Amino acid sequence: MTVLEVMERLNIKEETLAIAWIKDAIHLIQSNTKEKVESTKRDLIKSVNSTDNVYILPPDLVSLVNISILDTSVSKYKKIKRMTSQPHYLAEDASP
Amino acid sequence: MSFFVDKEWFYYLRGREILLYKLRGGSSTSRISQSGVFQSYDNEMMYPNEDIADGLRIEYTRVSEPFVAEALETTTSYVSNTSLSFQVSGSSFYIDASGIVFGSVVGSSNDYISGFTDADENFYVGQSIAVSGADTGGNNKTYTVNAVSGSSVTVNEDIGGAETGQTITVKNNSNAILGGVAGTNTFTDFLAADKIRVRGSASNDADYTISSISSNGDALVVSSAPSAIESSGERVSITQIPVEVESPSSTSHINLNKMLSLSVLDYCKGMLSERNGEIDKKEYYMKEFFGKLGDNESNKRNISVSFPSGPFAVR
Repeated sequence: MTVLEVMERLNIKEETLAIAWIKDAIHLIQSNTKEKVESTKRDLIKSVNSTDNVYILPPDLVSLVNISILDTSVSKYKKIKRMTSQPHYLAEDASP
Repeated sequence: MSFFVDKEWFYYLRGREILLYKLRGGSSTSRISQSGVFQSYDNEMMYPNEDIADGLRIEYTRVSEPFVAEALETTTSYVSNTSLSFQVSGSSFYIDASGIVFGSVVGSSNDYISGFTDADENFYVGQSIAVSGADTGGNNKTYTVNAVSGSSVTVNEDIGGAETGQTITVKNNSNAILGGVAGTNTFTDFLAADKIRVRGSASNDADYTISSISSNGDALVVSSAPSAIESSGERVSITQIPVEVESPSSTSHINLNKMLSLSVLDYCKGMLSERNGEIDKKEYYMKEFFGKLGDNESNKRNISVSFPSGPFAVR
């Protein structure tokens, strides 16, 4: 379906407005379903302080599907579990 | 080396950040007296303690390529077989130590180069090739192939002179994906400017844009270079994918199937109703929008139910 078809069915002439609404609708679709799933990979680094275990989510993320870690013993990505709260204390917190 | 990552690794979401933790190994109890009294500990976490290249994978949805150049339903071209090969511009794809013969025939565009093994797997009509290694003056140059047989190619240009027995190297002047057998129309479903996704190759899995197609439909000339020259053998599939329109206009297509495009239309009707102050209509159209989203999801699910037969079932 073209943008023009959408405009004709809506009986509007504002092309920019129609495109903006279409983008909003696609955003809502991606937020509620997994119509198109993207994947990105980052290098894991050995943490030497409490900020090294922090990774930034992709800036264009709409909805998180899952997070996996590479199990190098079998060369496969395995999904890991989410913690509902931040750990109260860590072993060897200063330099794990 | 990481083991049991699904049991030992955890993440916590903090705003737009992922915090990774690892379960500390070892016992969670220790004996504190000779009479066998044990003290137990909570599971302790620690920060990741190893480097893993590409170790973190994030799967997510985003608004990617919302508009494309043609309707999604028309991007159906597909080919898959084990005879596809890849040639890289400027890289030699054929080297022969002795058997190549340069022959001259009276008339224009009749000269040939023969003695190739499986010429129809390596050459296509319209191919621009650079030949080097010849000994006779004028044979080392660029030729355009106008016919291909099992062991020879006919070229548009006149050869410098008859010659045989040299170590000849042939390079393609374009990046190409070859169908494997000349004149087999392997790629006739594809068009120039189509975008394709290659999967299954040894080293050339990527997205490419087709610059042109050979006249026989047996080779795709692509705009970006494959990673490496690759001969046939792997089961390679080439699938057409939509071409993104970065600056959408009224002629651009929505990059969704028909059902979801109709749901987008409902959303737009809802927004239009809101703009006109008709909130009840907006609610109706938003319900239609989410209804179509649900329909689209259920259309992808084929539910089957099986019943176990009882031990005394009559057969």
